Amino acid sequence: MEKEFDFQQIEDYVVGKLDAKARKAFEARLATDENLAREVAFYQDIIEVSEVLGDEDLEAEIKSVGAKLEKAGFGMEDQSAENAIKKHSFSTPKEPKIKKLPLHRILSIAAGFLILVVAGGLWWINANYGDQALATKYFHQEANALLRNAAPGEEDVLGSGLQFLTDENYAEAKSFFEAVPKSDEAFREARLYLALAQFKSKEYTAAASNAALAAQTKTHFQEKARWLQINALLAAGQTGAEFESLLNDMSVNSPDNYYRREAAKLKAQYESFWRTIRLSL
Amino acid sequence: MGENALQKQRLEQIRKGDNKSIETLYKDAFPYCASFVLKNQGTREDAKEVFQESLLILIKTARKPNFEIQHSLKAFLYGVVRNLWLKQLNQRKKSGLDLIIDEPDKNFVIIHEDEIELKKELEARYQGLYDAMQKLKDDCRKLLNLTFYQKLSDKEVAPILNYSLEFVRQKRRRCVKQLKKLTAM
Repeated sequence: MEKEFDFQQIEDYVVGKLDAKARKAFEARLATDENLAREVAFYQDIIEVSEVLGDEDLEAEIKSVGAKLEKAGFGMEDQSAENAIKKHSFSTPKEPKIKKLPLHRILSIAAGFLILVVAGGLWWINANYGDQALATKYFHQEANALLRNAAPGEEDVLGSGLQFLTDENYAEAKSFFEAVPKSDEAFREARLYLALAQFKSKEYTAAASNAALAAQTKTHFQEKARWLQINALLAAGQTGAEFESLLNDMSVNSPDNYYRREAAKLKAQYESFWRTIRLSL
Repeated sequence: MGENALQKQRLEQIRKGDNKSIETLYKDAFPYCASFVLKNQGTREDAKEVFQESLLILIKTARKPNFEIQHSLKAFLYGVVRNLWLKQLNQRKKSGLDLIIDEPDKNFVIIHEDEIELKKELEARYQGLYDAMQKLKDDCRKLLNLTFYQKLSDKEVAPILNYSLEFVRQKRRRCVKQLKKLTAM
């Protein structure tokens, strides 16, 4: 006979309705109750598939609204489209009156324009291909993902520190994670979160060092730590042999792996023509 | 009713998937959005496809918690259409783009979605459950859609399906049991 669970609580958990205290207590039970964990996983799968089916249904509904309006002669006739364009035309700039200018005036305007274009171009290259710009671009989305996948049980030890990170209170987060002793089994994971707090505080060198420490042993967060280390080294401008070796290893083709895909994209931008221009200036 | 309050009401109706509201918005916003596509190397068919995709994005985004709109729904849709169409043109590698300059004081929201890749990935992982959910009876499919896709509370679901609050919960439990049987087969 199927074990009776509190299904309302399971549903509240998977849709995110439990408060922090109740969620923590529930997750503690999940860590020890395999049957409960299986039931929760099934509900989570239902949510994932509901997204796909829901999109399909919604798409079909929107198409049917469109078809219904089309049948009623809305928006698809040549005249309707033309009227739509006429009604919603944006104003086009009028042809400027060109006065005849002396040559030296034309040349000075052209020189000024060229300086602006070059300055703008240099600014764009630096904004998009500078070391810190690349690192913070690729690490931006990763920050929250680091917090979601702590192994069951470990989050309790590091819970307060993770809350500081979630609240973007990086000073407190750093103090918390720095205080986790080396003898504690969560030490390396604490170093990963310390590195993250340092990265967010722009202490890139320290972040790289602690991420390297976190990545030393094979754990479920080793790849994340390596990825953070790569981005911290880049942001710190430490793009020597160690950085290149890590980036090359990480960007080995593996389309199913998120970090390897991101590393491949970073490598492409890092070796791009625009970055070469920037470095040669 | 003030303009802001009217926008909020329309957004709430669209969030709940009210067909009439979707139709009204479609009629209101389509010519405005289509003009950008038609003026930038698009056909009528392109305009229709991009607009429908944008409307899907709007409805899904409206269902996220704490979503608020700064401008009108029409302006929001325009921003999404513009972004999607420019992305498509870029992918088609058309040269010599001659874009219309927007009025400089208007800011449009840009939404980034990669719906197609996510859908393919999910279909591969959850094929069995996907097939099972399609075999469910309409009442179960509707209930699971309202709860897990549209993310409505039980209080909101109950009047839509004409169930009592308690029955919504019991029925959902039965539908999930049914899914388990179908996936075990």
